Amino acid sequence: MSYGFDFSSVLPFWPDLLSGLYLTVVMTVFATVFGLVAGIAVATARRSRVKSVSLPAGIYVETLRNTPFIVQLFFLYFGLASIGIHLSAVVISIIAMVLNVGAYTGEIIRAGLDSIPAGQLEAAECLGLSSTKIFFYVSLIPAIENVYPALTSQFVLMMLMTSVTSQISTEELSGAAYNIQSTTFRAMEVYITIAVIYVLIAFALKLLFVGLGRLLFRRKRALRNLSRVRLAGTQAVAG
Amino acid sequence: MQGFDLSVILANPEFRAMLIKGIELTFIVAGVSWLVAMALALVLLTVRLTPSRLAQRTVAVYVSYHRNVPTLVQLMLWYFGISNLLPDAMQEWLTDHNGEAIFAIIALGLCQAAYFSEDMRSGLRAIPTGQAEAARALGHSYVNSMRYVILPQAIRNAIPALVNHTISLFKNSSLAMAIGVAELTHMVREIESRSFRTFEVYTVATVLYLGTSLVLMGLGAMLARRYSLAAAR
Repeated sequence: MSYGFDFSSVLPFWPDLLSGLYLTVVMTVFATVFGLVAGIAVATARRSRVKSVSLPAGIYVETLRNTPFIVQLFFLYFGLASIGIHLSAVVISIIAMVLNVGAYTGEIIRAGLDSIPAGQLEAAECLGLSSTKIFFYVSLIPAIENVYPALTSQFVLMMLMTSVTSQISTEELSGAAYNIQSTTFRAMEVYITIAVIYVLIAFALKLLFVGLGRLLFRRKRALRNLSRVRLAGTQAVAG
Repeated sequence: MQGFDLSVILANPEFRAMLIKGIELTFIVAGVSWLVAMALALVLLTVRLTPSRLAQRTVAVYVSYHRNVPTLVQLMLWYFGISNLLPDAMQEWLTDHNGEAIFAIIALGLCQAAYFSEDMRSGLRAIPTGQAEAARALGHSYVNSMRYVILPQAIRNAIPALVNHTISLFKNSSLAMAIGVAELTHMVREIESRSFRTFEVYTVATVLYLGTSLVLMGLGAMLARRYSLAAAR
């Protein structure tokens, strides 16, 4: 092995990597927000009692989950171009990611919605809550709470998927790396650098989701505090 | 725009030959890397189950790297990066012998091994330690208690996840086109650029991928049924 590692040749290109990182983060944020909305819509559609709503949703989910993302991306990119719709590669990438992740999160959220006991919904109805309130506070939010770990790991996978969009020439992290290695011929160093960056983004994202979960699901926190108070009470009595 | 007409693609002998070649290579890449992944996953699992902290850490880092770095970047690292580290004679040999496909198989196999080993480990971890202790107390040897008590249950637990990750390995084989492997997605792009029949070509690709994935899912369900509890059937 006569390869001399030379990370200093990558260093001058840090602005490219930084703008690549920025684009990766932007795409991830957009795809996460809209992907969650799409997932909720898909899950609701799949659970619908109307066959003409649930069946197309089912076909959508199975098709998107069982074909490679790169094929979906090309389909959208070249397909839209061939009928005269020209959008930027970044916009197309975000749309493709939302469509793709919507199918996965749709299934996850559906499992969450299925896990809500019917009695809970009936109780909410008896209490006279409006149907929108029931959907949001009794059904959806507890459902998301139940499947939160699976949901967030899907979004981390989606962040990793942004790299595939470099194939339609978005200049995100992988695209930037490709350009740098083709001018410097320092592929090893460039790709190790971005691998480290990806690992860091993935960890940051996971940390963010954990924090967000603490913030969003107050009920869980309240329950935890309640049990702690009770425990303290019994101990006081016992003492 | 012309009307949607699949026969433009399917009736053209040249395009059909390209598609078949592409499917073949997709199956070869996916299949061989599956074998690599399974074999390596068993090794990783065994290492992870040893009492050595260092060995466990090493496997944990391996898994963490492969799960938190995009598969595409791993492919690029192998193809553009690690290929440079090899001796010249070997590089030449690889260029002559479809090196892209070999690197794709290595990269995909190593990556998926991380997922497979985690699936198997969580399958094993779901078995309470009391079972192993009971088996040993009843006089089974370690190997026999593994074979008759632990593994059948662990396999049953792990099958759904393994099937899912097999399908994602199959789908990930499409990424190999990025390093120039002439598999299905690559061929489809080629046909598209020659025929300008975007919708038709990608519909064909979607159907082929979807069909294969559904077959894999069906096989997985069959396998799961074979290992399922008689009582649960």
